[in-house]
Amino acid sequence: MADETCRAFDSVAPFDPKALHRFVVGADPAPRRMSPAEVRALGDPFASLLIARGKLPISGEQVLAMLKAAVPKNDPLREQHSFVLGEGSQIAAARPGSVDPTIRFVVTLGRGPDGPDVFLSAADPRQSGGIEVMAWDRKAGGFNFYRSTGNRAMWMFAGNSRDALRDSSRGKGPFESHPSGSLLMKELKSPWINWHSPDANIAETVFAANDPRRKHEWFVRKEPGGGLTFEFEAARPAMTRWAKARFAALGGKARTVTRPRHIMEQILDTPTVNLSTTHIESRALTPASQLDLPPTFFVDSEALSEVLGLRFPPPFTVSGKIYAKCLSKFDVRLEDGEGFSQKGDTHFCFLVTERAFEDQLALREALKVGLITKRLAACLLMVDPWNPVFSKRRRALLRHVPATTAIAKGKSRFSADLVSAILRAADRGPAGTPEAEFANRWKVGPGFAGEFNRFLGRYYAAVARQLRKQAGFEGYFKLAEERRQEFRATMPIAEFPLLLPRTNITASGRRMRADGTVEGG
Amino acid sequence: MPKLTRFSAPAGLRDASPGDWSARIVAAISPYLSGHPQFYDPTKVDTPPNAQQPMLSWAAFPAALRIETGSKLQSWKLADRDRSLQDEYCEWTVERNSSRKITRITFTTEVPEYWEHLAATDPDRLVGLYREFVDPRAKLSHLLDRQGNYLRQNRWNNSRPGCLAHLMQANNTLLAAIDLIARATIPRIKNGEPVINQQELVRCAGLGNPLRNSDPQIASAINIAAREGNSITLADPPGLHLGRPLTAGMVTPDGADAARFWRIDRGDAEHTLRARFEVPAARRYVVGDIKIDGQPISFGGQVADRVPVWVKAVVKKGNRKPRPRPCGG
Repeated sequence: MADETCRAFDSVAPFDPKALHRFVVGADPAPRRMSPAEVRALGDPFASLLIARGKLPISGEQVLAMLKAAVPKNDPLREQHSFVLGEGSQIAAARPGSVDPTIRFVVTLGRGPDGPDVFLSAADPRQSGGIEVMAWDRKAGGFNFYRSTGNRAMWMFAGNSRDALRDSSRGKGPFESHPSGSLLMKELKSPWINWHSPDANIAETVFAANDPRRKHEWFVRKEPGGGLTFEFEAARPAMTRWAKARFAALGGKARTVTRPRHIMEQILDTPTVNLSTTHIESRALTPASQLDLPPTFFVDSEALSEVLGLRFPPPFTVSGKIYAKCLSKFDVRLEDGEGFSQKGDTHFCFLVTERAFEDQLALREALKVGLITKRLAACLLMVDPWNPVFSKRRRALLRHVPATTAIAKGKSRFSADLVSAILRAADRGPAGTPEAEFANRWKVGPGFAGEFNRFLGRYYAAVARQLRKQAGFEGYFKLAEERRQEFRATMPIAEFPLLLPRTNITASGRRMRADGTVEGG
Repeated sequence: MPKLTRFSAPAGLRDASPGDWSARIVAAISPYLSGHPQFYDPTKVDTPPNAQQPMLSWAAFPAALRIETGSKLQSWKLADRDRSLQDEYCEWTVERNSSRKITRITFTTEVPEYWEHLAATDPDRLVGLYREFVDPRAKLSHLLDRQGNYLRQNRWNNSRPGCLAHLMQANNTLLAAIDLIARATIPRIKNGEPVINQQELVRCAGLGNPLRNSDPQIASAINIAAREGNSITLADPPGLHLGRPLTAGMVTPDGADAARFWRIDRGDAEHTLRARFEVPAARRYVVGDIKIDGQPISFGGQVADRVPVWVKAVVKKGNRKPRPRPCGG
């Protein structure tokens, strides 16, 4: 069977490096040379300024140099910013040579309210194969994904963001890691673990003394704000740009939404995640530390509170003493799979999975275009809200999503149809099903905020009580590990071994309960 | 580059007594020269032209407050209300219209020491600045105590909306930055291993609050350079500066790029000391009508989250063999 992962690009036969090839994994059985007309149809700067003019760069630094040379002096594309990240970067900088730091550079060109137009990712500015380029297509909307392979940089067009949503290419090739066609920055928020940032510098000692990357401008002149700048100037605007373009087609005149399930999967399921941590460095942990646990581990506060206006969670903290006992009891360590092992947690403590920002955007846009109502969104997300990611109960509701629906001028029957389908199933089924849970939420009525806030308030108080006890927090620690294991097992973005800590905890189907305790031991 | 003739006034601004200001900086640096062999005074020692000047940057919003409250909303509310909570070498004030919508957010990184210098050397200029940037009613007597000493916190520089002249939070001083930079040049060792992680370093060497954005970032970057054997000092002009706010993703009612609403009042684009985020009246909307992540800007803290603050150091290539000290030493 053909390789349909993002590694498919590395195993293709060498074709003509002087031409752009189309290889949308899943849709194309193999790379094929694109015609000049097909190349001209691509509306992004990489295609229009370079490929269409017969300029095929052979390295990442050449891509940037050629693009900047192709535009006038005051063109925003001349504005370049480089960023650095690597899962082993803090370990390798402290103990040079101990691990592969898995350094990558992300370099952007352009700036504006929608973020940069070009993103380039490569481990080495001079490498030919394995360069990834995402460039905004001003004609079609969405990002065009490009990938180079081989010693002479054969370039392939790997699809547009819209291909992430097509049945043939969904979840394949680049869309394994970009499931909704969006930009990926999994460590999106402060302290941006693994990124050079104000919270954690990546020192030049991360490279061997004779490694030319030490002196390369991508490293020497890296953006001082690092992850902070990338989050606000690049990642969030780029994700928002694509979400708006994707949903723009549903605004205004009458349209058929052919696959509303794709949207609802982003709301009810966990197609991808972001990673969040406390702000406490593992090595600075003391018994007196108060670890600021990410609230999104306990509840999807970004959707429930920020979007739907429900009660914000209080600060959830745990003492360094309790946390340190967990590190020891559960044998927490970092391993690179090649013999390196270090006791303790990731650079910042308590790395957890949270609902991805690109999925939050899908919720916001679905509300904005009128595909779903606020009440429906609240009732859906208040099914098993104690498990903001990997909830089988919310996922089960996907079976009721209509195959297609219509939308016109901000109005759609979709919400009514979905509610009816779930309520019918609840009527027919036993108590305790996800459908029954939804029906109970729905019964609260249009003025749901007060009652939902009471549910959340009771849960928050219960969590706060558990956090004061060793046994209570151990349950959360094990739950966090189980969610990490599910992430590692199901998502290719967990590819780097030093991304996640290892423990002696085995999966047992743990899930959070409404009373703040963890089911499954 | 030979020895620096003298330190420049903040952002290279015109100053009636530039020698006095430079002498203040030299006096602030001097106590650290012995005991910190990799920290130097550029007015006394040459700096070669190839010396690097790394920019150390962090976000203006107080990280410790965010961590303590655990809530963006709560921390924005608190920080807007009380400048003593704004402890990242940047302070801001928020002004609103009759509908409580934000009309202007003014940021400053101007160090109080410079305004003390003005009080001592050019009181007319001092009062003029207050009148220009805070209130035309400002008088010298409002700014001095009975002994004639300049009051960093006074009738026109406090937490009231619009009353922002310069930094006043206790830790937001040039002396604090100099102290941090000088002391961070000492490599540290713990249990036989170098201390390199930011918070660990700050805690080990007593370099401030490990949960702030600024202290750990400055300390870590300086310490990394020092461990390589380099010599370090402040870049000229010495001071803390504002970066251009990260406005991508801000949605304006007319689609304009919000970056255009950043107006520099003191300094220039390269060395910004005071700037405001304000929509020109001709556009007929105000800052409070701009949205971030779908929410209108209702707090100055929302913008402070995206305002970089920076300081530059000079790193002179060296081949010193630094002798690490244990924590606390």
